[in-house]
Amino acid sequence: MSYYQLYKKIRDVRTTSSRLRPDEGWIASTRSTLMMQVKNSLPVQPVQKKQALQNLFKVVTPVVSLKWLRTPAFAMAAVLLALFGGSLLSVSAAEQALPGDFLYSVKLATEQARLALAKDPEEKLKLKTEFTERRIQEIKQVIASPLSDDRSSRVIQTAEALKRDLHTLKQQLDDTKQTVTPAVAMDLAKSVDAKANDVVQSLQDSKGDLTPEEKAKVTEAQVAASDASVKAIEVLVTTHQQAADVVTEKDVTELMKAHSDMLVKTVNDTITNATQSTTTGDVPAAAGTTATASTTNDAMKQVQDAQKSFADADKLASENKMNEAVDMIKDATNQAFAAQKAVELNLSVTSSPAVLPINTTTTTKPITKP
Amino acid sequence: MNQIIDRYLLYRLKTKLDPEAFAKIYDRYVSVIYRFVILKLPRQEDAQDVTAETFTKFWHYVQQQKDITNVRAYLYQIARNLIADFYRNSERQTEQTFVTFDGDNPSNDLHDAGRGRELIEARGEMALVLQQLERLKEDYRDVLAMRLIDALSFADIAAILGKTTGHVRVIYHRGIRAMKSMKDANDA
Repeated sequence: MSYYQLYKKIRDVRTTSSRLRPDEGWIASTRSTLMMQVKNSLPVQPVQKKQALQNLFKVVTPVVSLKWLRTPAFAMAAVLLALFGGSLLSVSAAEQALPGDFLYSVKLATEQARLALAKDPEEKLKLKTEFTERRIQEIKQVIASPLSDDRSSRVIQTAEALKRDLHTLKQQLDDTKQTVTPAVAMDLAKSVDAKANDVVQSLQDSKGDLTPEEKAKVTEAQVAASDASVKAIEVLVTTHQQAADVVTEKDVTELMKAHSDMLVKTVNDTITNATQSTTTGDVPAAAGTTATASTTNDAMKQVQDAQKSFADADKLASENKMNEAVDMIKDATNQAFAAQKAVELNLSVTSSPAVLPINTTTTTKPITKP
Repeated sequence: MNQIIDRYLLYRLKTKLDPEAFAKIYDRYVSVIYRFVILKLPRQEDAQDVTAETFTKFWHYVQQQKDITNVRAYLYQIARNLIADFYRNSERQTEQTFVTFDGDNPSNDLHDAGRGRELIEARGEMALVLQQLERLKEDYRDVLAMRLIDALSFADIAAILGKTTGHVRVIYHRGIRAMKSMKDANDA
């Protein structure tokens, strides 16, 4: 018998047997007999609890085979996932980290890595601007977070980081201006300036309820931001001198105007806040209030001076004496911030009751410095 | 799905010795087991006896808290052993006729009567097939018979023979190869 004949026979047998059915009557009678036997042989005491649990476990264990869990391929995949997926996950988690968080250093390291991977200085500058933006978000979030023991240190830490970032931003802008074309330099300078102005503005907005210590730090960051802004103006001026056809005088003056507007508004804000808090606040010492009033007046005067300097700078710029104009702006910026610092410091001194007028004279000192 | 139902019934059976669960298992498998034994035994009565005996034994094993995991495979295993027992005993009782056709038998009044002829033929074929398979190694024979004739799954065969599924699959394919080369041996 050949294989195929045999195979066919087997098929035949199979189909025949599949058609076979036991007799219904027999099934029923056997069933009843069996059931009778079963009921007669039922044990008196029930099955033990432990046994029942064991049986339950066997039912609960999955019907599908989990053998693939033990295969080398799966193990390898798991190891790879832990190695690479894990770092990806933690980095993406670190993106949300705030200063003082465990993963914040990971976030900073990621930023450094991205900077290191950027091809040309222009791209680096763009990245840096983006990171500066992030610092502002962080400082806002930290300030908005509920008051706790470490909030103050966190605010200071973030302000510090922001300051550092702005500083490098300034330097990078300086480095970049040599290598790129005037048009690109103008774009970069403008974007940096806009960003720096943003920083000053948003820091001012979020200053609301900070301790004097924190305020000082934030003001430092503001100074750094306006430094960056001045640097941007400087860069623009240099490019204007190199290629007046690309960077027009109007561009420069516009930038200067924006800078001075922003600065004057910021300092004025601080002063109005200060006067409001001294008049409405419950400061008992009369000496303190007068001192505040005098500092505020001084500061006002300084701001007016600064405003005048800005106006002068504008005039100088329109007369095409750009370098003098930039110097003027620098001076005016310093002056304006000195005024702001004085006011803030004064405010903090008067808000503590045991303060003598002598202290206010020391606080007014930095005003006369520039 | 079938396996889940089986597992549930087995659980009821083991924990509570539930007669209802046993009845359900009987309903589910009586025809299958009957078909499994009918062509391997000479008479319909023998097939009926062996089928009934299979379930009785199954109940005994359940009562003894034997380690049962696969109901279907366990039933097939019992049936297989009972068939083997049947032939061992019948060898001793030489006076008993080995093959009595249903046509001569009073049990023909029952259900399979109309198919008497077909059944006889099928049994003849079966005997031929088994005779051919007899020339193979025992391992091959068992697996091939269960797979080709009884159409059991590899997993069930593995459970019946106490081997892994992969091993049974290997044996099956080697058996098929051996079956193909058998023809040459026959012709030569």
